[in-house]
Amino acid sequence: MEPLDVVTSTYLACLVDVVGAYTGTKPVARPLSAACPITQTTDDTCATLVRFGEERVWGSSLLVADEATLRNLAAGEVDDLYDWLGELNNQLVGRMKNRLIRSAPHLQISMPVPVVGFVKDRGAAAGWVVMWDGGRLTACLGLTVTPGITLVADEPMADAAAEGSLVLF
Amino acid sequence: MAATVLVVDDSATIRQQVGAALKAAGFVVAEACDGVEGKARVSAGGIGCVICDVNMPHKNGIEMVEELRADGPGQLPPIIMLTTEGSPHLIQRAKAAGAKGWMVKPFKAELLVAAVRKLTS
Repeated sequence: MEPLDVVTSTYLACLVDVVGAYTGTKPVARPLSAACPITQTTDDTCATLVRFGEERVWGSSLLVADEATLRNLAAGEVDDLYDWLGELNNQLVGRMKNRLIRSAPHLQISMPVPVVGFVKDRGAAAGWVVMWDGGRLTACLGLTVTPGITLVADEPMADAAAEGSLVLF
Repeated sequence: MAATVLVVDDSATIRQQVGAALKAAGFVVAEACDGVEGKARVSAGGIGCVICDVNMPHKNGIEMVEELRADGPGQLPPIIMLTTEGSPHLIQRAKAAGAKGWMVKPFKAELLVAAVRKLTS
């Protein structure tokens, strides 16, 4: 598999996993015809951006969702919807990092940034809308990978690094 | 008297969600939004346990643990790292600094509460 496809498919798998972890469902992810169809946020939508990168792989994750979707995704009360969507984005990119850790061990993740107004992500490579009974979330992946490198994605980890696990030392 | 648990995370939502789970279990909850504020709060005393993120602005969670340990063993209450990170290198670094546990988000309230109970008993 081409390195670009490795990262893209890993991102997509993590996207579905993160939404599934909070909804208890197996959501459906449908590819968008345009890589990033969101051009402007509205009063009803929130958008956040998380950047990631190391020397050979870098990009960004843009998540967009409306208020009802975000409240349905939360287990309890949420006062700050931008913060919550930023946290979801952080967890999504964090999962991707963990699965790529063997071949991209130095991947760094930025703090989530709220996006208000016009959305201009020139590097968007692919986009999906994730749907379940409680709502829909749009995700756009911007990605640049150095040609010719080898990347390997692991399955979700089953040890101390597994999502939701707790290990006491 | 119920132990005070300090939740250190730059996400207000995570502080809110973790705090709600701990309060429902009978703990008193304090909050800090980064490692600088977290270290100051722990150093002021009265904290029975800390739930701490890793990637935060100003001072990350592992640096906070390392600095608290360097200040003296008496400064270090039981600390559970709660993060998206799963790097074995980071887990080992946190363990070496004196952290007592590692949990990868999303957190499971029942697991976290049980661990806090164990560490504060």
